[in-house]
Amino acid sequence: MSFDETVSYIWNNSTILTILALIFAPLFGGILMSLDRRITARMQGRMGPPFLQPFYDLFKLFGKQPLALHRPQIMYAVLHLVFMMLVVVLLVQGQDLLMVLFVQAFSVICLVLGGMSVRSPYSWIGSQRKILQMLAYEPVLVLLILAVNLRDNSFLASKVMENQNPLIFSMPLLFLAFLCVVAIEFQKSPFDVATSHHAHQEIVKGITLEFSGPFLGLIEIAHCYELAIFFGLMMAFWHTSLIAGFLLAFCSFLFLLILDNAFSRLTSYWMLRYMWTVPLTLALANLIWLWR
Amino acid sequence: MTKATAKSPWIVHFNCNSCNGCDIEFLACLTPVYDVERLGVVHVGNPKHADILVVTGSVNHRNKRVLKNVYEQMPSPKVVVAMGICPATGGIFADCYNVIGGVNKVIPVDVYVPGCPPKPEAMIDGIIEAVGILEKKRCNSETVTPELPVKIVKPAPAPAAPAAGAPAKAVAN
Amino acid sequence: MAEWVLYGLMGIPLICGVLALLAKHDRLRNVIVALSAVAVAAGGLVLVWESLQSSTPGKVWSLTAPVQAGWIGSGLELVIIAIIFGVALKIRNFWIALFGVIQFVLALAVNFLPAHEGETELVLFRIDDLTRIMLLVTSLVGATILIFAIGYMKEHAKHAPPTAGSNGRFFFFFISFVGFMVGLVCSNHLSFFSFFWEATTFCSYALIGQDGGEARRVNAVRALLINSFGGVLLLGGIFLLKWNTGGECFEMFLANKSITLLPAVLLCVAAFTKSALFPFQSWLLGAMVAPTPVSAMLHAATMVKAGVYLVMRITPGFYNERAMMVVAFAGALSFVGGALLAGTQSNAKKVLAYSTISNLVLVVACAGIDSPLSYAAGLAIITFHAISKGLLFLCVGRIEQKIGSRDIEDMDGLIFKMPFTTSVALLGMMSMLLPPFGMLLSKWLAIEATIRSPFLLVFMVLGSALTVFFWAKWIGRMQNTGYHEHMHKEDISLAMRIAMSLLAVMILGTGLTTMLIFGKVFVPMTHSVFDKVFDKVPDASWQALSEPGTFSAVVIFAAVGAGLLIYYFVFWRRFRKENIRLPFLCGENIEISNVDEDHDVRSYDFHSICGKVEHCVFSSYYFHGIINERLVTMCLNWAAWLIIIVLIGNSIMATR
Repeated sequence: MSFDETVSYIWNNSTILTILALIFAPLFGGILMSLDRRITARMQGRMGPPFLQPFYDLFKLFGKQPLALHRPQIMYAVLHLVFMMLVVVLLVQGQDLLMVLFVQAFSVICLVLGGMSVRSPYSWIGSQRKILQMLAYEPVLVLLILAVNLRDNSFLASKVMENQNPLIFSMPLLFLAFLCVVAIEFQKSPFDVATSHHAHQEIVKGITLEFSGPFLGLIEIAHCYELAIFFGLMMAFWHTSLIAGFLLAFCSFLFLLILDNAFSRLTSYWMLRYMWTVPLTLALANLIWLWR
Repeated sequence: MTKATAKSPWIVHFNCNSCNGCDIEFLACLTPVYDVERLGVVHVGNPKHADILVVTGSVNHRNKRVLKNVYEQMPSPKVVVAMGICPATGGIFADCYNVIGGVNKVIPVDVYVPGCPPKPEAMIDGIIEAVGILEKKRCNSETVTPELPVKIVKPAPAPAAPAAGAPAKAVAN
Repeated sequence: MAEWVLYGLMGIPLICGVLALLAKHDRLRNVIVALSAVAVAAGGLVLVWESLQSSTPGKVWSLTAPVQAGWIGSGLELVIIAIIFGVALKIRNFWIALFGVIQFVLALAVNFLPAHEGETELVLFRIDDLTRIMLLVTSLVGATILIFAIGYMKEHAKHAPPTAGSNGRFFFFFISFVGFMVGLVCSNHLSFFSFFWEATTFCSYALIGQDGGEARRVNAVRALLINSFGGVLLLGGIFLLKWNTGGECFEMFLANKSITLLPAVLLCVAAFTKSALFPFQSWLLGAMVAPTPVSAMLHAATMVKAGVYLVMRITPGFYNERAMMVVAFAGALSFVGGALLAGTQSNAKKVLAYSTISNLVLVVACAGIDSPLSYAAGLAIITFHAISKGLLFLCVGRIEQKIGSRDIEDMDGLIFKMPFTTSVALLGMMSMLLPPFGMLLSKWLAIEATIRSPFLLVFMVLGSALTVFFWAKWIGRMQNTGYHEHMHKEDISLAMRIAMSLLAVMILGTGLTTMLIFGKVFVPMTHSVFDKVFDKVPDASWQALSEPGTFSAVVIFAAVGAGLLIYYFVFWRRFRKENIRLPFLCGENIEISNVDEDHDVRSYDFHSICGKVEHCVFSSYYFHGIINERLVTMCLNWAAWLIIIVLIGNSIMATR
């Protein structure tokens, strides 16, 4: 079999594709994380960590002593990861997008419950803020999916891929609204209220505080998946051309990094107010535009 | 995995009873001039994620319990660095009525970095020493650290005119 | 045979109620209640089975009687209205008395309106698909709540206020409530329907006031007042219907849409009062002063379900009417309002009440949207909501008895104190918002059905996000706990344990087979309803279901199973007690040896200045200072009144 044939065989075989996606998604997410740290360091006039730093961190975490507060906490970390993986599987299989959204929400809720199951005030505050984040971005995501349905008359991810017009041309405003959602998911300022790399002082890492060693590792892997998923979704806005899609997603990613460095972290209520006004209005405007 | 441990030392910094001099100098290591992140160092704010506990200041009766708690909440393998002269011996506060002495009265210390405060280079050197010890500790992940050979890091040669104030009195344990 | 089962189902509860009232010994009364629960459950199942044997299209079973039988219904109706009027005189409430008089006059007048010529037979009772669903819900969930009440009331009698009525009185109304509800969903003749409607109103009045005292009296009177207002609208609707068409049965609504629209809308508004839509929600919120089984009964099996049943019964006839869009709006508004206010409450029963409002009005919204898909979603919500909400109320009642508080913030660490109740309650709550349970599926379908109407859509989307918000907060609080080596065994009476386990099994069973039930039960039902409206329901309506790889419970349960297996083999088994640590409190934790098993709350005590031990308290977000419950309620009420006025005005215009 020639190279092209092999590629097309793999491309058309959803099982192999799913397995490949499950393997490469966290790798890609890790690379994004590394790029994030390096570019941020450069913006601050520093060198930044080595390229493979996120992977070193991850390996180290799995070699540490498994400290925990109690057993259910661990269960929630595992479920968080498993459902994030399920999101990848469902997306690659081209399933119903609303279903994908619900599974993603389930995964986040698992993390929230893990943070709430322990008796730690910082973790509790982080979890509460995570719920507020969900409350803030969920409507925009649902509207995005409904807009996709309005255009393609289907909720299936595979149907979206079959349409030959890139989404970005029919829903530019929704893309802007979606960027805010991505900023929340990537834990970027000004939205990183629940947990962030910079929030040592005020909420001590918030929701992930009480997870240590391998359990933190599980959550980090899940975050890698999350990064890859949302990067992939940004690419899907220009799905007809791989290069254009990648450029779109990467430019948006860079934009988010600049935003991250330029903004301080704002309050969670501010986030809620902002998300329910500006992006929601943008999304609605786009939805009405698409109306037939 | 051993290599990964050495490449990713996450630090928690605990101010026992310090005059803040060492703390300011230590945080300066994160600035673009020294940029410890290029060594993979992340300054995490809590013991639960940390590998290296950096202690500044001497131990007194009030905070020895806190220090012990913080130490116990770190997952093994873990290393303690006594940053400055106070956590090594009590420093100039050694004779105060409330001071117990160095950090090693409460928890096992792996690296001493003397100085008042130590220079950032010395601090970074101390961290690198700690990473070396961390790498060796990989195999036995027990919470209670066994007695280990105590290392003293000599500060880099002082600049020509030493700063006014109390001269650093490095005393080995 | 089916007719005898039906008579039995309506009669046995009443007889058992009288027996329970007369029984001198608690044990004898408990046996009677248990027997009546079994009889109701069995009767419901048999009746559904029997009616399914019918050979008519849509498997409709009906009980016909001579025209004169309609007088029986009217007579009963007048009697119950007279009783309510008597109550109104006794409590000296002018408005209820006024409504009673109007009802009496209307009910009497209906009988003197000219009926169809030459009609010799009437369909008094009729069991079709919608009725079967309601029958199952009422009889099965109702029976489990009856069983629970045995254990609950025994405990309740110990610390009930001295003003409380006797347990005999309670069970009399409680059991007959179920019988009336069965009658309500089966009756086809509107005079019977309105008799049962008033009877449930009266039962709920009596039960809310069960414990006596000022607060309960006020709330009971409010419930009676609002529902009497609904009764006036109902009778007004019936009067107009007979005036316009000469008939008094549900089929008459299909006779001529242009003249039956106004009666239908009046009946819908009457249903709003019963289902406690905004602006009528206050009676349902007040009803939580009653003993908890009453709340469970009102929310899960009987009262509020009667309202949505009526809406579901009427609306399919009015496909594509503008008035139905307004009904959908009324529903969507209450959906968001209920979810928003539920998020601001920390009182568990109030959260449940608001969430009932928010979920049931979703049914109203679904019925108003009037597409086959949303209709099926509405059926599914009624069913799944009944099971989950019934279970949740039972759990909250049990928890309240045990810890003496119904505040959500007091519910931490419960999984250790009462593991059975808490885990069952957690299951119930998860079934309200997580895949693959039925509620989420129905909500998903409701959203898919609204896709063609943008404003409704926004309400739906915001409402469902808010729903996640308040449930997640509560679940989080309930499973918050310290570390325990062992669990206590919970001390709980057999009746309560059986009732809760039954409902939990139902939740798990329906959760596992959600998609199957939906495809095999609700979709054919919707077909049989809508095939009258369209020639045939277009297949495009089911696009959301027929596409490959939609909502599959199997995938989710497989993922949960895989996660739990990994958890068990990789982490649970390697879990060591030495690896337990206290939470991070900046190192100021008190020593772990001081944390004893019974007071694990202490695990987040910390040392403050001067070695004082302080207790660390943290609360959830309730939007304090941002959302004022009274203000929001007022705005919503105004908006809802406006919608109702628009609704009635619109239908008057359309009738002309």
